[in-house]
Amino acid sequence: MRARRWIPVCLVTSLALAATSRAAQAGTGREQEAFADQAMARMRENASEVRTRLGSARSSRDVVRTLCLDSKLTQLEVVQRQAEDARSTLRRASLREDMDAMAQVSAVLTRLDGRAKELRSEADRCVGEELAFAAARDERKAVGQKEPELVLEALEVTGATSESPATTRQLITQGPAAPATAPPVATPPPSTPFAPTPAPSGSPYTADTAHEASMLAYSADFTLAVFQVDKSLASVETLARDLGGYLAQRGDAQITVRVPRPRFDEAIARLEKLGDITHRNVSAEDVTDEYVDLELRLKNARAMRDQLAALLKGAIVKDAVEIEKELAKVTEVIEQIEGRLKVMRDKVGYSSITVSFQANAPSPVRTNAILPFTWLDTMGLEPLLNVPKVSP
Amino acid sequence: MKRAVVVFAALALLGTAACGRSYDVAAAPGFVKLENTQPPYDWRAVAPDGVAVAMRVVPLEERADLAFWTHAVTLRMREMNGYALVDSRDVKSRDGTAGKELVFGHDESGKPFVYRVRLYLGEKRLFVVEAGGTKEQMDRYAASVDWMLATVKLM
Repeated sequence: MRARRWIPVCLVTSLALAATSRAAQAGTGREQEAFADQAMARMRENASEVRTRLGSARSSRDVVRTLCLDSKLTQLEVVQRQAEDARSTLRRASLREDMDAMAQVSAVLTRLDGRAKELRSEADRCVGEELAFAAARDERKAVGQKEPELVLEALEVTGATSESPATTRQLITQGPAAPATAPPVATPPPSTPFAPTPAPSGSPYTADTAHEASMLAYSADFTLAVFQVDKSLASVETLARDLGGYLAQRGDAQITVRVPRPRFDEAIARLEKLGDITHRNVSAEDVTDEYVDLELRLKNARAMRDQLAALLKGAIVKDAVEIEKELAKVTEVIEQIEGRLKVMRDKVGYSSITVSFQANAPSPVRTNAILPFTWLDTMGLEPLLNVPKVSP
Repeated sequence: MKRAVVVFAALALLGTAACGRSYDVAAAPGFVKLENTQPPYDWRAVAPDGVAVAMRVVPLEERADLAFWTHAVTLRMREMNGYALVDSRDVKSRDGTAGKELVFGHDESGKPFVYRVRLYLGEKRLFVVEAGGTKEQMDRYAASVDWMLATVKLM
């Protein structure tokens, strides 16, 4: 009977304890979310600062610094994306009041926050060639022992993110199921920002131009008055071949040839003697930024491929299938980037020259504004050669 | 009386010369001079296969030098008629008048033609000598055309 009297007291006490616990959990959840928001704000600030510096480096054409800052910014953006994912997960865990999940996500966020700070600090050191090369060397050194997250970053940077990023993330962060340690990964050969890749056609010019800090693609358009078109087209083609170039396209009244960039001026000078030039346009396109970006993406993609290949060696069948899928995607990306780089190097190594034969069409304005001497109207072959008929 | 007749005859000859042709030009062998030349030409000769050489005298009221007319003709042919200026050189007529020769090229139906123009500036007159034909014919008749152009004499 006495025991029965204590039942309501116990129930009330239990309910009160449960309520207190929930309140405490809710408080912890809010605190963790607030911490996550602060961390994300810091990351955004870091990325913004690095982005500003990158813009400044690009405008001052500091290629080494641009490459270094671009690399840091890319990594920062990846960290930011991961943090955003973690923030969403934290919110869901908080709503579920899943303390374990919240603790895990908070740990991830703390680590990401630390990584962002590190990246910002590294970006601060991207001030000169020497330090940038040191950073590049460190990065290369780290390829073989990179943290799993960094490998994932490389995958995302190259644009080869899988359709099921979660699977990939899991595979990479946890590694294949069977062996605990991955075999050592071959470190890619050291590369300078403008390290020459093998010339696509074996031309001596292509490799040289890849070294240049400023990558300018020259092109010229000429319009010649219509006279001896066939002969002139052949002359343009011969001229290009004489200078080590080649024919790109030839039509009835237009021809496009490519000549090695070092002989571009010579080609122009010789072309100007071929006929009566009525219009000329010479232009140069700076492709340095695009080239640097592609080189960076290629570097990341290759590192990713090496890492995946290493994982594949010790993977179980189930994981191996997933890894092979990712490997195929990364390989495809590498081939695409290599193709684009090849095209770009060719564009810089060989200048395009287009020669068109076109008669000037007289405009009404010019017809009215021309000199008021009517005899000029009767100049030309037509009146001269059209002899009127005479009766014998 | 006899003396008066001689003076009259001399004056008549001078008058005829003054009112007649103000230039002299000859047709080369292989060319025929057309008798009833119509404007804008004052003189014209043609070869059997179409090469033509002609001369015109343009009365001028404007005080412009040879460079002006050379530029005017060049612009007209290049800008309006779509001809290519192939060559430009100084020339002299048989009487020593300085002139300018312009050589134009032009494709008609894919066939190249050559058009040569010589300009000489006289007293209130511009002498324009023209020669033209397909490039092949002009090359073939080059010696004859050169000879005819060299016979031009201003008076």
